[in-house]
Amino acid sequence: MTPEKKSGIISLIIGIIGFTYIIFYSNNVLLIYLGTALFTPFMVYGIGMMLNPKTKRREEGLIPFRGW
Amino acid sequence: MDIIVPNNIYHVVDAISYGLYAFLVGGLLLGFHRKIISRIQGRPGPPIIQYLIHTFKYYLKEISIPITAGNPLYIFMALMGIIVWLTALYLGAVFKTSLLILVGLYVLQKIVEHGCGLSSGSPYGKLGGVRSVFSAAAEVPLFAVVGIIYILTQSLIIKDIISYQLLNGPIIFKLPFAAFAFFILLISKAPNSPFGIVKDKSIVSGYITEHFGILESLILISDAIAWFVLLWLFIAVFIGPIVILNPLLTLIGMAILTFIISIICALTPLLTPNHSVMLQILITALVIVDLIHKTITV
Repeated sequence: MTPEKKSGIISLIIGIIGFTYIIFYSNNVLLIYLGTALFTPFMVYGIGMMLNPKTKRREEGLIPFRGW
Repeated sequence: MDIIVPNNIYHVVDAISYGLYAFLVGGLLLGFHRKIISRIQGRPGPPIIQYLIHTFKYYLKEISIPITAGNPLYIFMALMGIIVWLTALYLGAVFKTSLLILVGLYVLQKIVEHGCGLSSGSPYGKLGGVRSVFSAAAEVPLFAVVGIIYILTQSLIIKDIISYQLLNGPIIFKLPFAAFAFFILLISKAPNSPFGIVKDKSIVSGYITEHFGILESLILISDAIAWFVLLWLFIAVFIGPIVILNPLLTLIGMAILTFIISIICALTPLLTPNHSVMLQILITALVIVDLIHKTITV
């Protein structure tokens, strides 16, 4: 797994756990709003990394060969 | 649990939709800003939705983490930008809490810029990060503004400041220097501004040089929300309930402010870092003199 994909999965897990907590266990409106502010970027990044296109590099970590 | 969960889902949806609204409005205003600058320079310029198009385009671009990047800071800083400005949006525009917390959050934005620049490992990013620390001089007038507003209204809660203006009229006429200092802060946050030393083209793109693809998209989202929050704050604190209690008038006020700022940005050259800091400190001195004068006369 590439480090990019790994970071996406980790942030998606953090986002899902965070949203689950604020939806099921929070009873303070301010806390829900601040929780949303905290965990939305993790979800946005996680979803974005899942949509990240497959690399055009022949091997991970190598830049594509562009000719001599 | 049965009652709490639907309520909580409602609040979460409410919060996310408000954040989305702020992003769309902020993005359109920044597109408008770019359009005005182009027109003044005699170019047709990109469409107003260009900022939003860029954000969505970068969101779907392939990225790879540079080998010099310091992770997880490199990724987290881009996320932190949105966290900071969404928090400022909710605490300011939704809950109308303390102005001091918003100033604190604005200072956190500097940590984002600094962290982005230094974590990337790029010399341009590092220089952008270091310049963002210089440009912290823009926050000094902000603290003076907070002080002078407290002297006048005896409160730093935004709700109280709006109520004060309901009884006594807009603060902008009572504290013109403070309004001017806050306006300079708005200008320094605008793209292509004379104080924009952080994203100076001589250092490529400053602190976002190495943040490309989805990370740049996240930074663009946070900048759009930041623009919305700062304009909202200026209107709420200095113009007051006449405009801020009506969403349509607020949008018109934001568009007018963006228009004025765009003209200033288009007609002024980029200052060098030392001149930029010097000018901002001069403005601080002006506000502090006004603050001392108000303290003595009250």
